[in-house]
This record gives sequence, C-alpha cells and structure tokens, in this order.
Amino acid sequence: MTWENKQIVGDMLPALEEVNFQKHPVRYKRYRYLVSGMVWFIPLTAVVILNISLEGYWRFLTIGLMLILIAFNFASIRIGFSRRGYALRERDLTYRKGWIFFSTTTLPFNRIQHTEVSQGPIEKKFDLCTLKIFTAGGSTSDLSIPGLEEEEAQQLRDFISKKAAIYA
Amino acid sequence: MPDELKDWDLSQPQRQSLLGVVVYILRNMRALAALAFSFFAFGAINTSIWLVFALVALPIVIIFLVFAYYQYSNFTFQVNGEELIIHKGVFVKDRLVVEVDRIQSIQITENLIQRILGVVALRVDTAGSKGSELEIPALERPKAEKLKSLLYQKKDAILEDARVEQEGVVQNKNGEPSDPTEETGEVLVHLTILDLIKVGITENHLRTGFIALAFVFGTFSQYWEYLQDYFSDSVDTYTEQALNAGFAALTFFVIAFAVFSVLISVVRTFLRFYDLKATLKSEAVEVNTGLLKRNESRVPIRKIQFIQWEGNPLRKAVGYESAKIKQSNSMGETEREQKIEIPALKSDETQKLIQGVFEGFSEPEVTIDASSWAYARFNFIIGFLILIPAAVFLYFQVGWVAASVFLIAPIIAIFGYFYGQTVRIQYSKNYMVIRKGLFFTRRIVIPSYKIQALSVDGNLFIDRRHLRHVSFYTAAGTRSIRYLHEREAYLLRDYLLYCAESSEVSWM
Repeated sequence: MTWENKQIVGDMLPALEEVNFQKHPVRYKRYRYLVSGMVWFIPLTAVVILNISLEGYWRFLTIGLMLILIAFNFASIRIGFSRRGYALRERDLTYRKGWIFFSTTTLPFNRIQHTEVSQGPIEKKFDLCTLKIFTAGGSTSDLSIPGLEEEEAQQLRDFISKKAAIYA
Repeated sequence: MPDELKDWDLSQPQRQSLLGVVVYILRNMRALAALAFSFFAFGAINTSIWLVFALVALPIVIIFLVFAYYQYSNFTFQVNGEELIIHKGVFVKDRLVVEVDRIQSIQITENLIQRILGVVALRVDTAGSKGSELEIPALERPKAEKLKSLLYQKKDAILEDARVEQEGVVQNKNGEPSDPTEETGEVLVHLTILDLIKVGITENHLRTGFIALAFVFGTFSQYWEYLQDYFSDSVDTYTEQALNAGFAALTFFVIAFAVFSVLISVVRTFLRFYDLKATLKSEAVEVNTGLLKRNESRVPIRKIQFIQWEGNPLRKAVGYESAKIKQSNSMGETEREQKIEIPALKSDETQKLIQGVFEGFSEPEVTIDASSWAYARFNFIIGFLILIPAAVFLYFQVGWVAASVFLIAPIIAIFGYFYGQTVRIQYSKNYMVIRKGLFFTRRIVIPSYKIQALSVDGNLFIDRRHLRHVSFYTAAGTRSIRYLHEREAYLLRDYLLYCAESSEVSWM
C-alpha cells in the first residue's frame, strides 16, 4: 500500500461561499412587518391599558421600552431580510438567515426525506408560500424557506424531487 | 366494494371516507373538551352556567363542524409516479410529497372512534422524526390496504433495482449467506463486578457535583475570614454563631449530597450495566445488560450513525473508556431505548469495536484546530457575567474588596484556553473524528456518508475574528465543533458535502 498524505485543497472543491444566494421578493419583508405588527398588537394594548393605572415617569418608561423593542424588532427584520437567501446547486440546497446569530444550512438532495409547500392565509394575500424540506437529521436540520413566489416554490420542489429520486 | 376498488385510480387525487368529517370534528373537539370540563367543574350546580355554556358551545360546535367539513374536503391524496402526494389544510394549505423510496414503513391503525366508524388511519413513516405529518386519518380499510400494497410494490420495484446494482445477495464475511440468529460473533466486553464498581465511582455526571462542591468550598473559604472579621466587629456573637452553624450545615449538606451522588451513581451503574456482555457480529452489535430488567439490544451495524467515546481522569487511570453507540431513530422507539452504552472498554476492545462497526477505519490525517483564544474569551465573558451578582452581594458585606472576586474570571478563561487546545476535528474521505475535553475527554467518530445536513453558523461577536461553528446533523443527533477559522470551516463543509453527495453507499 502506498502511503499517501494528500492535502485537501480548497480550489478543487465547489465553494459554497462563492455562490450567489437568491433573495426573497421585497414583499416578503412587508409580510414580516405585518405579521410582527399583529403579534405586537396584544402586548401593546396590554401596556396601554396598564398605563391607565400608572403615573408620571412610569408611563414613559413602559411605553418607551415597548416602542424600543418594537423598533428593534422591525430593524432586525429589515437587516435580516437583506441577509436571507437560498442557493440551489445541482446536488444541494442551502438557506442562509440571521444577522446577529446567523446560520447557513445545506441539505444534500440525496438525503431529503420529503418536501412540503404550505401557504398560510396571510401568505396567500401576499402571494407567498413556504417550502419545507425534511431530512432524517432531526427537526433542527429541516429547512424551512418562507417568502417564496408560488411558482418558484413549486419549481424548486419539483426540481428537488427529481434530484432526490436520481440521487437516492 | 371490490368493483369500486378496481376503478379506484390512485394516480388521480382521491378523498378519504366522508366519515373523516366525524374524525376531524372529534379531534378538534378534544381541545374544547378540556375547556368544557373546567366549565362543568366550576358551575355544574348553577343552572345559568349551563345556559351560558349552551349559548357559547353551540356556535363553537357549528364552527367546528364547518371547519371539519373543509378539512375533509381539502384533504386529497394520490400516488403519481414515484411520489405520494397529499394536499391538505383549510387556512394553511399544505402540499406534501414523499418519494416512495424514502418510505420506511406504512402503518395502518385504528383508535376507538375509527373502529366505531369503520375506518382506519394510514400513516407513512420516513426516516425523519416527524412521522405524524404523513397521515390519512379516515380511510375505508380495503382502500387503505390497496394504497399500502401499491406503495410497497413501487418501493420494492425501486429497491430491487438498487440492490441488484449494489451488492447482490446478503452475505457474511466468508462469502456464505448468513443467518443473523445463528452466528455467535465475537465477545467484545464482559463486565465483572469489579468493573462495575470502578465504572460506578468514575461516572461522568458526578463531575458537575464535584465541580460545584469545589467552587462552593473554594469561594466560601476564601471569604469566610472577611465575613468573620466583619461580623465580630459589628454584630453580636449570636449572629456569628448562627452563621457558623449555617456554614457548617451548608458544608455538611454539600458533602452529604456528594456522597449521596456517588452512592446513587454506583446503584444506577449496577442496575443498568450488571453483567454487561457486548458481542460483535458481522451485521450487528448485541448488548445484553441489566440487573432487575434484562435488556437485550441488537443494533444493526448499518443503523449506527456514529459512536461517541468518553473518558475522565479516574477512568483513564484504570484504563477504561465508555462508548455510546448512536443509532438512527425509528418510529415508535423512545429516546431511552436508543441509548446503547458500553461503559468500560479497554483500548484493544475499543479498536475491535471501531474496526467491527466502521470497516477499514483509520485515523484521518487532516486536522483542523479550534481557536483556543476564542474559548478563553468566551469563558472570560461568561465567568465575568456570572461573577457580577456574587460581587454585588459581597460588596455589601466587605466593601470594594469584593471586586477581587473578578480575579476568578481570568482563571476560568485560562481553563477555557486549555480546553480549546484540545478541541479539533480530523477528517478524511470516509470518516470524521471530533475531539474535545481537558479532563473529561470526548471523541466522536462519524462516517462522512452518515451526514444528513450541514450548517455553518456564526454570530456578530465571532464574525469579527473570522470564526465559525460547524454542525453535523445525523439521524442519531447533531454534533458540532465551534470556533473554527472561517476558511477552514468553509473548506470542511464543502469537502463533507462532496463526500456525502458523491457517496453511493446507503446511509442506513
């Protein structure tokens, strides 16, 4: 047996970092703002109601804090939106998200168990849907790509199915 | 019925039995039932409560009925080519697709309601953990059987082709067809009573207890002197005695707890690992163990996703390591059953185990080290944050001297640095080995083709230093390595993707 010690050089491998990531349509950002706004509605009304019984600087404190949190949430959505994207290659699909804590998750097609395209009622108003891809690696590695055009999602799903069948 | 079945074209979208509406109503009602129960509990005597309940419940029931009807009407399934497609949902519309060859098993079940209605539920399980997603809750039995056999037919057709290509007939190492029950295999480990005692005392979960004990002891003894001075000056002796007693009680409690932990540990060890006999066969590893409840586990080698070895200084002193065999989760098996552990392996036994399970294994040569300084920094920050409340508390006792408590932070950081020195990953085309641990060492061996997915993560803080964390997802759990340099992390990921994607070996 010949003793080998081959160095594994980066240039020989397809580099994921150099791939162009496909962004979400802009209305996905608006969708997120809307959903976030709807969620904040409840604590906001609660705080407003609470404020009736408070006085002076406590009022400013609570409402101020709430507004700061909401502003941060919205800013986070905006920054996060510019970072999100997916990359489709011949043999795998990658999704990147997050800006304070970010992650890039890649699923090889030959490991995909099943796929799901779902559309909630609000998503429907925006003509967006979510592509979910399930693996055997537990729910943390299951990919969920929201904010996709309907046709895009279907095409992706069909493409992935075909590839999954080939690379089974 | 048989004629209906002949014309039942599964390549077109089909609905379930209309009785499915009833199944859905009852499912939706389960949530309401809890509410109703509390209603009854509170106001069963008061008649007006009943009136209110009727007024509220009736419209809700009607809504549920309508909702259930739409659930039924929107639920369709079909078998198109090599895929099972399910459409479902009322507000959130779902379209699920499963490749036939990804199907692990098909279960036909019936609960009481379904039995009364004369329908069955058909559930399709894949290797993922969310088996309940692919369920048709109300199908007439003959149709369910037909769907099941159709799916199996398609599955076998695919598997036949694949198997003929890959390996031919299943053989054992001598080239003869093997019968799994007859083969005796090679005994790997057989634990004696002495082994068990050694294992029990050197159990890992004690370390948290001991570390806590050491910390408490250390901290208190350091500041006991200051406390004593303070109290003897400003407060009367009664308080001082009470404090003394309190401290003594605390010490006693902590020691008792530690001793108790050791005892519990030894007892647990005996119960779980009594007369453990691990046998290596050509296709499986068998582990027989247990005192009161004898547990016989047979783990097929191809289901093993990775093996994790753990050691601690006490065990190393007696020449042992423990091995945890991680296999892929199957439907219906709980987490507990999955944990196959051999707590005392000597080094030659470890070698036999590795070679038996991971054929042709050799230590991969390419190594990537994690950044030790990153561990040091992280420990420093965490240590600092934890010490803040302690410092604040002590400030009120001893004044600004309390700030010296922060000196512990650099010590924790130094430990972090040395820990980080041990963290590394070695990889080659077929295997990865992740190593970490200063006193409590861990070694994880994962075949590259067992990888289901990969992720490279980071955050704003480590991004400045060009560091990343890499996580490896397998069917038996996720393992990660943190604080790798950016370029090495990307290279690792790209290489492992290449390995997983180009591998033709079936991962299970």
